[in-house]
Amino acid sequence: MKHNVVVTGLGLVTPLKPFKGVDVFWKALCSGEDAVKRMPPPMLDLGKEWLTARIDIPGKFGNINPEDKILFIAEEAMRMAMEDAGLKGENPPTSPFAKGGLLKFPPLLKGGRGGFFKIGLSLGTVLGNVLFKERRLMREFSPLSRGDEGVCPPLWKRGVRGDFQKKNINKKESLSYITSYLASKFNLNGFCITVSTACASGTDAIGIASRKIAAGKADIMIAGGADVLSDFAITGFHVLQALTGEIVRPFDKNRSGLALGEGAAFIVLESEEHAAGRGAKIYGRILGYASRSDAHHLTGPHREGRGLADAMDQALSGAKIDPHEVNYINAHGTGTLYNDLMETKAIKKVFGKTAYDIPVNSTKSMLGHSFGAAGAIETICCLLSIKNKRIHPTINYSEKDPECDLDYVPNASRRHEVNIAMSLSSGFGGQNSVIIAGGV
Amino acid sequence: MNRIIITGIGLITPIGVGKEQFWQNVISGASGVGKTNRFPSLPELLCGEISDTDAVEDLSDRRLRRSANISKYAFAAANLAINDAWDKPADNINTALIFGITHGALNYTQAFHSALLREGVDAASPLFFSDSVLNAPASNTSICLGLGGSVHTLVDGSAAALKAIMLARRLLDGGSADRVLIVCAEELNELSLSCYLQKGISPLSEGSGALLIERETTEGSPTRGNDNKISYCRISGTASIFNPSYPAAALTDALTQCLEKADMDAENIDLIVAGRDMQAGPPFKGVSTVSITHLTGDAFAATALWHVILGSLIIKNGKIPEAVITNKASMPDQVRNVLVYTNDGQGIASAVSLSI
Repeated sequence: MKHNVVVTGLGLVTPLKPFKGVDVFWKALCSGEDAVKRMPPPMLDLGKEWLTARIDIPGKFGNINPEDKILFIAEEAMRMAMEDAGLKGENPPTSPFAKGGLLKFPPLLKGGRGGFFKIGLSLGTVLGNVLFKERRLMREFSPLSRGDEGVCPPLWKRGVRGDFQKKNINKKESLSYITSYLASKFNLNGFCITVSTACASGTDAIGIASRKIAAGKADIMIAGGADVLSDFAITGFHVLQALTGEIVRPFDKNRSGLALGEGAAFIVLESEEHAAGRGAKIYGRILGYASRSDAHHLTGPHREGRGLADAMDQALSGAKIDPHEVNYINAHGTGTLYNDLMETKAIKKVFGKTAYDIPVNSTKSMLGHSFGAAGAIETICCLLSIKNKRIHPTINYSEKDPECDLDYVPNASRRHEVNIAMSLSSGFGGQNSVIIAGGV
Repeated sequence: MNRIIITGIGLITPIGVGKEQFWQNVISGASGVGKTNRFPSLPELLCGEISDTDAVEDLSDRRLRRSANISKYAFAAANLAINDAWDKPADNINTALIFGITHGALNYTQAFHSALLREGVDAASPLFFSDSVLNAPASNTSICLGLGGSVHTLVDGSAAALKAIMLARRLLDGGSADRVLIVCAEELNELSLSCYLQKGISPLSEGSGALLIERETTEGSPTRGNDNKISYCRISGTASIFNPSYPAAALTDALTQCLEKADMDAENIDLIVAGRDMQAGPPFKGVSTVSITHLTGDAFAATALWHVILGSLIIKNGKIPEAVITNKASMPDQVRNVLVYTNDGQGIASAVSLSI
């Protein structure tokens, strides 16, 4: 049985106006505010600074360990989305792994067993809580702590057996720990899954969840992504020569690379009849989703955008939408030479001449690239564009690239009646994913 | 709901490369667990290592020569599964790959970090970074096999394998793929071993497993209609439950839901395949249990997929090897239905039923 999939809640924490809510974020985004700043990496003193977009945790939240940052921002984003969707439990838990009652809802629809609807979680993340791993690598496995320099023996020889933190640290390093943590925190009891498809992770998490709703396999799915900045990510992208030293300017002739960012974003998905049955407000529909692989190279995109074009084609045909019906594209738009060119070619391949009439923008021009969160943030941008009839700008755009010749919404937001929006994501390993969102 | 069949199998395990060697050693009870001094900062450990590295290299692809072992294991198993199905995918765009992983290429993560600290940021190898990303083994496999369909990496403990089967099944049911490769792989690494050592959990192991699954036509053959085709068994039911508030209920619910989807009762199950020391509960009291873990060590998601493969081979070969029986109850004349499950004890339980 095929169900229409609707979005009933949005929540995000990004470097732009973090913790201020979706509306404040959207206003800042449409104003073209730039969250990217030059900063040193979070942990190591490497004698260098990079352009990054970071989330500052306000003092009112207390001291958050750097390792817990991803859990903290993901939890806040998820709480925002669930409250926005009216999913507030009667007895919300107050601590991780609390043994509380399940979230209770009035049994509005047949199928809500005993008043409990199954709520699942689909999380996309690339590096997850890699900071736990980094901290341990520094303490336990760095060249110095190994004793190579005669400083001290490895930690396991130093009598740490039985230490609770040590025993659990490996568990916390796992990406699936974030999913378990969040599901436990909110007492979810449905299908939970952790997806890691590089920078398409957030998009795939939403796509997989929407298919589950469409197939009638879940009542409600919360889906999105989260990732934080780490020394590992910054230095990794640095050695790949993917980072800009100047400014993030997607699709511009002088673009020179991306800036890394961080964030968490979730949407609440349910079937249209389920949402209507409980009187939930509806932001829009998830009309289509597809993912395709380039099968080309581990770190570089296919130069003609083969996989991305295939994914767009597949998403359109699956949703039974003609290309000319799409009137907004939120691009992956990282600001690297190859991505932006590949993406432009893929869009032109799928949309033909119509491509020139469709505004295409880059959220990453303001937020940097937040890995697994990016696709979820950009799906939210599509839904907000539909709701507010406005599209945000691609900032820092100054000179047209003859090969990137579409309408990239340069530097100023504009009013635009968005009926059907497409969000594109591409990532390491030739991962390409596409979400199509539409109005109600 | 389509009938989904397993048409290809591939394994790289401490007890053998390929299904024939694996099955032979399962029958003979040969153990792949031994002492290793491979990790300089750790004491001598019991591990299930891949000893036949030449065989893995032979099965590998030239493009993976500098890649992490986990990518080599993944590709080799996937390659074996495709060859086992006598089928080089002709229509690559409709072949999907779902990958289950637990720890990933931590040896490269460690090497990257070490180079960073020793030699500075500009001396670290980009390969150590790109191969450390968790989707790298799946992407490397898709690149070498030329698979253009969906490529997803799911991260979890042993449940990742069974969740991968669930997702693969949904892709086939929804028409998003004509065939799906399910691959799980793991490599031994110092970073994880040091933790498990402190927890007293051993032996750990490494390797990979792969299944090729497809829709079955009403005539009982795969939809692409290869006359030479063999199928091992059907995937008749799948379920995964997350219930941290009531962890004890998670396994019961997973098994119940799996059987419901397979339109079976507990009494229809002839054999259970699960990790060591796992108990499926009262409804399955009279059913024998088998496990591969004492012969191979535990490679998390990869081991869970080895269990699915073991169940498939038992159905296909009509024989329950004595060496893997961990709980001997009634022994059926014919194994028609096998239940494979994982349970982390903290509320995540998954199950897959295999049927003749």
